[in-house]
Amino acid sequence: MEWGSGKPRRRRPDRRPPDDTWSDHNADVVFETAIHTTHTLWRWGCWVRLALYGAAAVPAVAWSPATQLPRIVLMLFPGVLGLALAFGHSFSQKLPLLGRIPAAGRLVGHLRSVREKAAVDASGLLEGLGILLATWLFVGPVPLPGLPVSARTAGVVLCIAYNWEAVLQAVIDAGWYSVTAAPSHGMRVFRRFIPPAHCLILVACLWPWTAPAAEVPAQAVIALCLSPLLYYAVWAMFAAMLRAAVHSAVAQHRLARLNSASAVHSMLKNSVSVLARYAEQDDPPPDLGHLRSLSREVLVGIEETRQAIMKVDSDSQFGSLREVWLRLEPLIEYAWRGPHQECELTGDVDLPLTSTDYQRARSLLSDLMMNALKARARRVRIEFRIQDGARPQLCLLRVSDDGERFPPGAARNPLTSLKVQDILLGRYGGGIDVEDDGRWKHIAARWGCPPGIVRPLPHPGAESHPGPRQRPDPGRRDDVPQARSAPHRDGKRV
Amino acid sequence: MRIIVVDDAVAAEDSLALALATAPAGPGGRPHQVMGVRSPRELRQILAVDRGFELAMVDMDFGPGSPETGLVALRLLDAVNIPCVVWCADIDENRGLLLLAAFHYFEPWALASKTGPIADVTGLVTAMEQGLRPGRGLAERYRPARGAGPPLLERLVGNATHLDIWRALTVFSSRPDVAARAKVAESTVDRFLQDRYAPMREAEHRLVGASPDLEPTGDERNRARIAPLHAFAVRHANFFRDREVEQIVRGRYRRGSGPAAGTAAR
Repeated sequence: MEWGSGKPRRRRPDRRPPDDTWSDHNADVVFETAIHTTHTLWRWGCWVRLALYGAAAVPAVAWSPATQLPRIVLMLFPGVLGLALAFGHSFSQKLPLLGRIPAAGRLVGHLRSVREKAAVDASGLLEGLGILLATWLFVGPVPLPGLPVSARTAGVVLCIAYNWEAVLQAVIDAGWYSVTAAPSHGMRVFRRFIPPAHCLILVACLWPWTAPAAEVPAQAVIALCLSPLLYYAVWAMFAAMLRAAVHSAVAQHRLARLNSASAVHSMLKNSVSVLARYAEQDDPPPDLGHLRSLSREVLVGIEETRQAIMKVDSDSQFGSLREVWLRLEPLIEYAWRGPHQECELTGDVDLPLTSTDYQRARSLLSDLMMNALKARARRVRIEFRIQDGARPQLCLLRVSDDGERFPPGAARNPLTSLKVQDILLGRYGGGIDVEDDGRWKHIAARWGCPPGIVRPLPHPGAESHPGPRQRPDPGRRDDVPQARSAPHRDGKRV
Repeated sequence: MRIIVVDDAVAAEDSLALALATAPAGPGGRPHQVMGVRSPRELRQILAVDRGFELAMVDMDFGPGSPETGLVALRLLDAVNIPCVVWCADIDENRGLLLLAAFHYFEPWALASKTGPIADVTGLVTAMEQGLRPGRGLAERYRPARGAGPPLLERLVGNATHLDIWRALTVFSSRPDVAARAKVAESTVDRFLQDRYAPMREAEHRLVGASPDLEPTGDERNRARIAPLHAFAVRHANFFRDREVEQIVRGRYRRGSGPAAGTAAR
C-alpha cells in the first residue's frame, strides 16, 4: 500500500474473529474483486501521476531563472524516483528487469513483499516526500520566488491533484479487504479519518507562511484543502460496487449449483432407477444379460453427465458414434483377453445422432463389444451406417470380431443375451442379425424411427471412410462447395 | 393397445415395452404396441402424421436437451384427445409444482412412478384397456380438491403480474429488488407476500408433508415472509420460469373438452 503524505504506520497483523464459511466466501469475493479493480486503477494511476508531475514541473521550470534550476531539479528528483518505484510496483512483470540492476535485488524483494498489504512501502514514502518537495516549489516555507500568480496557482493545483490521486489509492486499497492479512481494528478506524487528516495536512502545507505563497488566491486554497472530502464519495461508490459484486457472485454460484444438480438428477436418475427397478422385479425374473447391459449404461451415463456439466457451451446436440465409443472404451478395457489390435470404426461415425439413436447405439455398442471381448477377440470392427443399404429407413450398427465362433445352431439362439434387444428393436422394423462367414462373426443391429421423426443425414461426400459397400462414383466431382459435417480421418473422399 | 411414451430416456419406453411383451395380451387379444419419442418437439412431429394412440405415458422433465416440460406434451395430447398417464421419476422435490399444474390444467388419467415396480404400470395399462377408472393412487396428492374456494394452484400462482413477482423472487430476496425486477410497486409486493404465504405453506404441506407453520405475527410480517417465499421460489424455479406456465397463466391456452377417460371401445 502506498502513502502519498508519507506518514509511517506500524503493521500489526490481527486475527479476524471466527466466522462462518459463507461470510468467508463473501470476503474472498470482495477481496478478489478489490484486487482486480485496484490493479487496473494503480496502473492508470501511475500514468496519471506521471502526467501530473510532468505538468507541475512545467510552470516551475518555465518561469524561473536559470539559477534556480539546480534547486528545482534537486527538489523534483525524489518524486521521480518514487514514481519509478511506483511503476515497478504496479507493473510487476517488469520487476525482474529491475532486479538485473546491481544492488536493486533487495529493493525488488521489498516491493514484492508489500504488494496487497496495508503497509508502508518504499515507493509510497519516496512519492510522499517527492510531492511534498514539489509542492514546496510553489508554496510553503521555500517557494520559488518570482513566479506569476497563474503559474504558481497552476503548479499548486497540479501538485495537490497528484497528492489527491495518491492518497485515494490509500483509501481504497485492496489491502483493506484482505482476507489473509486483515488490517487491525485500529487501522480500520483510522481509515475513516484519513480524509479529515489529509485536509489538515493540506491546510498546514498551503498556509501562506511566506509572501510568495500568499499570492495563491484564497478560494483556490480553500477548495484544495476541502478536496480530500471527496474521498468519502469515491469510497462509497467503491463499496457499492463491491457489494454488487458479492451479490452477483453468490447468485451465479447458486445458479450453477442448481443447474449441476438438476443435470445430475435428470441425466442419471432415469438410468439408475430403471436398473434398480429391473433388478427388483420377480415375475419374470430379470435376465442377467439385460441387467448387465443396464448397469453398463449407468457407468457410461455417469461419464456423460460429468462431461455435460463441464461443457461451457450448452449445445444440446447429441454426440456421434465415435463419442459413444470414446466414453465406452475406458470402461471395457479390462475385458480384453490377451493382446489385441485397436478397434476400427467405419461409416458415419462422426455424424451427430438424434437422442434416440444415440442412446440405442450406446447400449447396443456396449453389449456387442462385451460379447466380442468375452469371445477372446483379437480384432474388432465397428461399422455404423445411418441408412442401411438394403433398407434405407433403418440405421445399421454392426460389430465384427474374430473371436470364438458361435456353437453350431446358436446363430438364432433365443437364449443369447441379445434377445431382449431383438424384441425392442423389432418394434421399429429392425432386429438383431447374426452372421458367421468363417473368419469373422458379424452381429448387426438395425432399427428405424417412429413415423414422422426425421433423422439428420450426412452431407453427400462427407463419409469418413469408404467402406466395402461404397462404390466410387466417377461421374461426380467435388468442386461444388459443400458444408462438411465431420472432419476426414484419413483424407480420402468418395 | 397402441401406447406412446414421451420421455427423454429410451430406457423408459424399452422397460415398458419389455414388460408388456412378456405380460399376457389384452382382452381384445391384440398385443400391445409401444412407441416412444424423446421430447415434446418430437411428439409434435409424430402427432402430425399418426394420432392413433390409445394411451400416452408422459414424463414431466426432459433434461437439458429440451426447454419444454411435460406440460407442453400434455397440452399436445389433450388437443388430440389421447388419454395421458404422468410417469415421473421422482415425485417429490422440485417436480411437485409441475405435477400440481399438470393435474390442475389437464386432468391426466393417473400418476405412475418410475421408482416403483413396472408391474404397477402394466396394471394401469390393463385397467385402462378394460375401461376401469383408476383407484386412489399417487395422483390424489396432486388432484385439485373438490370443494369450495379456488384451487390451490390458482391461489399460489395468481395472475401474470404475480407470476412476474414469483420469477423475481427466484433471483432476489429483498423487497425493493423484487419490486424493481418485476416492475411493480412495493405495495403490490406487500400484498403479494400477504396473499401468497398461506397457499405456499399449504402447497409444501401437500407436496412434501411439511407441517404448516403458524402465521408470523407482529409488524415484521412481510419481512418475515419474504425469506421462506424466496426459498420456495428458488426450489421451484424451473416451474415459475417455465414458458408453458406463463402461457397458461396469461390465458393463451384454453382447455378443450373435459377429461379424456379410457374406454374399452377404442
